[in-house]
Amino acid sequence: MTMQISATAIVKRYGSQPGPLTRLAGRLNFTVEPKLVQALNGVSIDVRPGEVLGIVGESGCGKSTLGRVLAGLESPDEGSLTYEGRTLAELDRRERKTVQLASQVIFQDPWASLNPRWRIRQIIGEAPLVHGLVERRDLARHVTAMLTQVGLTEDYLDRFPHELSGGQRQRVGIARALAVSPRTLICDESVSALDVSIQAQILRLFRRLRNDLGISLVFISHDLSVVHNLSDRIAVMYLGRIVEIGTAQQIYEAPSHPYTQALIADAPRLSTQRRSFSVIRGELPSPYAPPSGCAFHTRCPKAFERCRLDVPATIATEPGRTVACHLYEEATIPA
Amino acid sequence: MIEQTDTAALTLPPNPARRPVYEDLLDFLRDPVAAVAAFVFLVIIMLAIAAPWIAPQNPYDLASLNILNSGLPPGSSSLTGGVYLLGTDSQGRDLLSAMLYGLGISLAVPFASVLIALVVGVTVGLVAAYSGGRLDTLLMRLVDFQLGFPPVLLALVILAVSGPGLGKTTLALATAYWAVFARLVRGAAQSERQKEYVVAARCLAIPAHRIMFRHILPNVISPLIVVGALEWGACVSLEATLSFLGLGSPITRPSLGMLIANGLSYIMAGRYWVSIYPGILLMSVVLCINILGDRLRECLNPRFKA
Repeated sequence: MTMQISATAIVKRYGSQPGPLTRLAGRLNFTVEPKLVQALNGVSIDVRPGEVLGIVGESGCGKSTLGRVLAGLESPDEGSLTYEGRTLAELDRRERKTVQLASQVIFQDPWASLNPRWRIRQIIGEAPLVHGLVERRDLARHVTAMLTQVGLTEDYLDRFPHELSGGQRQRVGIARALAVSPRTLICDESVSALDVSIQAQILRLFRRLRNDLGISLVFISHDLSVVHNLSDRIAVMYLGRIVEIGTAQQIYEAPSHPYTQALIADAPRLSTQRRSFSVIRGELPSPYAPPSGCAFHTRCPKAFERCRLDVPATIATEPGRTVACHLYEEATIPA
Repeated sequence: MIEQTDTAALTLPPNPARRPVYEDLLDFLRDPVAAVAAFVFLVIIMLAIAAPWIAPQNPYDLASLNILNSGLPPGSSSLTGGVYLLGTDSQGRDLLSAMLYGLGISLAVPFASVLIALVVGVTVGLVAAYSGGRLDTLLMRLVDFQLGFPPVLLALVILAVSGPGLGKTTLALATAYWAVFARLVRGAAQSERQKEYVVAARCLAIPAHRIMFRHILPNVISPLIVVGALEWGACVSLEATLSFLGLGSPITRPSLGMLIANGLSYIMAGRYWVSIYPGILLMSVVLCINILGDRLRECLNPRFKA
């Protein structure tokens, strides 16, 4: 199977290497704040055609950065990315544009993601027109078709974003992405800013788009219940690494990694009326100075000596399931 | 689940009646000072435009001047029978006519300079903010360097090298002011650039120039209008200063600043009118522009609204 997007050992750093002045200050025993953040630290993940891939983790774990890298908005510092089996390097300008258009982002904040000075007609119609996907005379029909696709009508064509509600704006944002016929939608906290009832509508819309158009969805959220509800597979991230990947069922019902177990235990459910919560101890460590060994060992209830020293390898425990934890190293199945 | 459709409950909000333009205008004029300034400024503009038709004399036509009429006080009659309402200058020019013609130059030259400065400054600011990195640093250091010079000094140097002339004055003034716009636009555009609608445009592979001028520019335009208006006022003063120093408009087409300069040597001789009347007019022009610019800022910035 050719993967829609395949990312291998992606590393993404933010900030700058210390300049000469900073190094001098450091040599003179002034404390210098480190400036380099390793947002992604060797992340490998595949997006399969037509699947919904959920990505969960606390804020600051690098899930949004991963989304931006997958969407082609940021280039990784190390590692390789292939789109339908081909790297960007082997593509010419024209093909690169096609690849760029194939992955579109649906943003979190429906108030900031639409240009406040533009009408809905322009917002949705710009990209298809600029890239010559649609003739100018067919544009209105195309835009209307996109609006219909997301459950809006042509009455919206000449409205401004400020005239719409949050859910309607989010639909316009989705229509804008659909207008260039993407193969993957990267939804970065796309429902987090919406009311719960609107959330449910938008989630149904995403599911319908996947079923009708065969679009892959990468669904990034801190809200495990939302992700579980929609996803086929789930990747759990912690401090720039993927700690576990499995089907939604596997992750939710039998989490392997201690971090995933803690996340699932924290998620409120109707079925269990627990009174005490085994909340994950402590705060997320500073990404400027990540812990040695397994990044989770500072908060892990099952941590042992080795976790402080070695970074755990990612191992397959079952077919289609990987986990990065020293607890499972004996359980490796032969490849 | 209460509703099982994803297209549910999409009642279109009622189309809010588009606020008519005259309401914004009324809002603008609610401030009495601004209303008076707007009225005075309108009269001034109309006088400047109508100068060739309403001026008693063509001050550029040297043949119509008579040296015997020189230095007459306001209200004197000329040899040919007309009345010099505001008197004449040392060449026997009707001061009122010279002022009406000079007014046009004093308004138009700075206006053109501000427009040029706006185009250059906006382009530089947008490019700097959008591209970031080394180009941003380079352009902004250039802006800092430029802002480090007093505008008068910079314009003086340029005109001293190139010689006087209306076109050259326009360019000199534009050179003195573009950096203000560049810095303003760069700051505003930098914060716009982070917003998701710009990221979305990048994701949609919209070309950079389109993102800069079609997406970002319309969202930074309102502070530009305000600063543009205020800079116009500053530019009128600067042009007058340059003309006063003999470097702006040519002596055959005097602007207000040059008229003031021409009269200066006669003030002590009791011919106060040659300098005072153009001076009052220049002051009114700059005052009106500044008041209107300030009012514009109040109206465009919701934070100032009561």
